[in-house]
Amino acid sequence: MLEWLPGSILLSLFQGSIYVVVSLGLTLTLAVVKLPNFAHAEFLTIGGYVGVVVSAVYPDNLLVIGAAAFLVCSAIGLAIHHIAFKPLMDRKVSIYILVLASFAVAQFIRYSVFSWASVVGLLSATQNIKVYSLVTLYNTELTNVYALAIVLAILMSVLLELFLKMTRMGKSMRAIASNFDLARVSGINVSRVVDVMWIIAAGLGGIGGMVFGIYTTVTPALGFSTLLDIFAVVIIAGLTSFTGTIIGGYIVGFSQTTVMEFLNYYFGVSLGYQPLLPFALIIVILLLKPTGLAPSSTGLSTIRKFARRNSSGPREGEPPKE
Amino acid sequence: MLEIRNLVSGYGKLAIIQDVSFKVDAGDFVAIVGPNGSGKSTLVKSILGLTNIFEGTITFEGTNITSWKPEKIAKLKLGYVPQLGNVFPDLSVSENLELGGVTVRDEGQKRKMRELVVELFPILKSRSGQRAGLLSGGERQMLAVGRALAAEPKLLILDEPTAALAPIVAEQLFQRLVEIRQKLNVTIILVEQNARKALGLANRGLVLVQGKSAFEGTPDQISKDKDIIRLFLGELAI
Amino acid sequence: MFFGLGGVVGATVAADLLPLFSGAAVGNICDISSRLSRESIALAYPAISVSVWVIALAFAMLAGGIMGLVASYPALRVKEEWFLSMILLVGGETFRIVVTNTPEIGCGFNGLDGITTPFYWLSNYLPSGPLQAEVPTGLYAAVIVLLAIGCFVFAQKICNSPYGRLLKSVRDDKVAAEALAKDVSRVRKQIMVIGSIMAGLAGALYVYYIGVATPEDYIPALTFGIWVMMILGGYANNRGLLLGAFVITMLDRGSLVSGIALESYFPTLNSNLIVYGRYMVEAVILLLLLVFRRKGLLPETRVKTKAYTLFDFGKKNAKPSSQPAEVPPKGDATTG
Ligand SMILES: Nc1ncnc2c1ncn2[C@@H]1O[C@H](COP(=O)(O)OP(=O)(O)OP(=O)(O)O)[C@@H](O)[C@H]1O
Ligand SMILES: [Mg+2]
Repeated sequence: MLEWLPGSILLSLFQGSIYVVVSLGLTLTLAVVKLPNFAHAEFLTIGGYVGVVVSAVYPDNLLVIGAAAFLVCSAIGLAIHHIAFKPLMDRKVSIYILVLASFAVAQFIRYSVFSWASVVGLLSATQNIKVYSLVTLYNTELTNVYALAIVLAILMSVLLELFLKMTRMGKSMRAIASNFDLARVSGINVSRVVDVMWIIAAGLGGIGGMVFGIYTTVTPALGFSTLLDIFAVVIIAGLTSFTGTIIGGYIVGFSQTTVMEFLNYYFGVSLGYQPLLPFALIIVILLLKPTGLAPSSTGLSTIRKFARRNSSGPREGEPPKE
Repeated sequence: MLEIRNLVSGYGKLAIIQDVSFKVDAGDFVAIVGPNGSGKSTLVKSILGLTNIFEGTITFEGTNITSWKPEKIAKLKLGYVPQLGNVFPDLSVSENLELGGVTVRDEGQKRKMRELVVELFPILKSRSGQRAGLLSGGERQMLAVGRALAAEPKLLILDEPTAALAPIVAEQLFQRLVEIRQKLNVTIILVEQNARKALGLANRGLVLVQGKSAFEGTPDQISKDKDIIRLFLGELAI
Repeated sequence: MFFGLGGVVGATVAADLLPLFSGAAVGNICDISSRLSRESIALAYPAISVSVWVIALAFAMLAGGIMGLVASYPALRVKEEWFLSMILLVGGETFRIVVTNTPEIGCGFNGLDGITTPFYWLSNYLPSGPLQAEVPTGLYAAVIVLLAIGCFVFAQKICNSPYGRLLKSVRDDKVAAEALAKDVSRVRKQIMVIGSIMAGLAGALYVYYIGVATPEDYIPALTFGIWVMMILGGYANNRGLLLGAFVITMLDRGSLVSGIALESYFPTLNSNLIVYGRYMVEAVILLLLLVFRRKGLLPETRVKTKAYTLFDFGKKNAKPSSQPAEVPPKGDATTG
């Protein structure tokens, strides 16, 4: 009676791994430039389409395809930072304005992709990458895509951790996240570090999208349909915790697949309601515990809690608007 | 070494510092005192490029640094201990010290500065792996000073480094400052609430009131000016 | 979300009541046959048709208001500003997904159609030809314009009343308003309810105009268009909103017209591009505005209450002292 379970768990792991890779980029953006980037999910779309285009030329060549997805998204990430976000941040606008701007960027990218895809006839496309089974356990096939996603999630998490902890650039990035003004007066080249941050964040989004695109059909709305899932992940993570992001990715992955199939199997809940579970997580966490579920490694949560208890006024140290 | 001329600066469109001029020579120990909210922090932030400068000029060693970006000014070897947020709370003590010295190119020099810092503040060595956010208040102020020193500064600017410290710890920190000044021959600008103490250490003083320079001179002159004492520093200060 | 809710509720009420009032069997409102019977009823019974319309609008407003009240609970409890956008986005998407996947609500994915304008019966009395279709629609459009003017006057009234001044103070400085013993969260709740009632009304009016209610009409790109309208005209400014709405609607219609024109010249042109292009232009407009002109084309004006006129009397340029919202947020007082 539980025939569906192993397959479902595997699918959850796959889905969760994709969320982890993509959300690590968003967490980085939130931590370093404090931007809730609603355009982040568009990198997933772009990564998926780069996969479609490049795999047509280099079929099955995962390294080339992955590198292309990473690089194209990095370039776009850098571009939107310099064209849209940096001018606004230099003016010290409120976070609300930045959120609006990121919606505008997202919409622009999404419909650019729509236009392009519609002209070249790729409104719904697949990548030219062979999917095959590696092993079969409990009647469940572990395919190369699943394995790839899971390995990628582990690899990216470890690499990011090493980068942030071991390299000068990574430490500078954490310093900027921790105390922006002090980082500047210490002589850290903030704009270069932020550029590198965008390269990594957007690249992670792209590579996640590319792997996701092997599994599913690539459409211009692919990214948007995962936008709120990705935000659910970072909200579970309390916005800036990397460990939290990894945990959150798998929570959302499982809630969308295994939990949903469970509800469907035993209670007949329509699978169409699948996206609602992460939504519920978002609302509940935003209302009850905005610092997220994961233990914060940053110590920020205690400060925030303290500040919240003491006042409902504007946050300390925030520059006056206008 | 540092010259500020007719400075008007502040935040956004709001001017806080109103037409302040003063000069710091190499080797000086300048104390800036004044009531709360008089603009002491704003004045030193202006030197480091953290405010909007509306009028006037700031020259450091002959270079006009008015309205430069903070990260560019930092390369000129200015060390700064801000009043608030003076360490990276999410980084370890050793990472804080390392990033304090990012502007120092020479690796040997960098190591030498760090050895000197732990010699001055031995406690930092035993805490080196700990996150700075978890240090005690006193330890954190020491780290903040150490972090600024790691940049091998020619000019060290400290904004109330002893605020909220027990008197005995504050006294130790002052002693370290004197030591630092002698050993490294750095010029120091010290913003301090405790006017008597600061003027006792310094060889020049600046009294700031409501964004304007109310008095400038040697500590002796300030201590003798009855008006300044009565109006701005309070009887207890001397 | 409120707009969509108004649309779906309005359409459902209309679909249920039309047959009920005219004595026909209600049956399944999602059928093609029910659609045809709706149209014939609307054609045959003028009185029923108009009264059902009014009731449908009332229900849509009620639904909007209730939903606004419900949504104001989470929305006003969030800790950081941008969490609110998050909650509204989640709300909108939840609405769309629920409607799409629940056949019981607004016929699910397929939507509910055959909702004719309340003046459809007029075509009985008109000679056949293009006029037969145009007159009822034109008349209905005129009614919408009248209602829109009504809403605008109402909003203007609110903003220029002492209550409007309270609203501004709540927005600009929550703490100060609280210190003056104003119940900030109650004010916010009230305004959210008023706003969502209006949105519900607009949704139902829109459905009656285009004739169908489908969940796919409520994609975020449309909400986005409304934001652009607001920022373009200057947000927190009713007159500005009118200007913004005008420009965006011109863009909308303009893109339709130019689309047709372009298609006749270049038959190979992909017609989707026009729609996509419009969304892209909107995004660019918003970005440009945010970077270069954050206050919008028409900046926010003073609250015009009686007190203001009194103070202003006789000396045109004197700044009245009773303007809490006009005092710069910080500074003067501390430096003076
Ligand atoms: N980031 C800021 N934005 C706007 N105004 C500010 C900002 N920081 C300080 N101010 C204002 O500038 C004025 C001077 O502040 P400043 O911090 O320079 O005073 P201070 O002399 O250092 O006081 P204290 O002795 O309490 O540290 C105050 O009125 C303060 O409200
Ligand atoms: Mg100060």
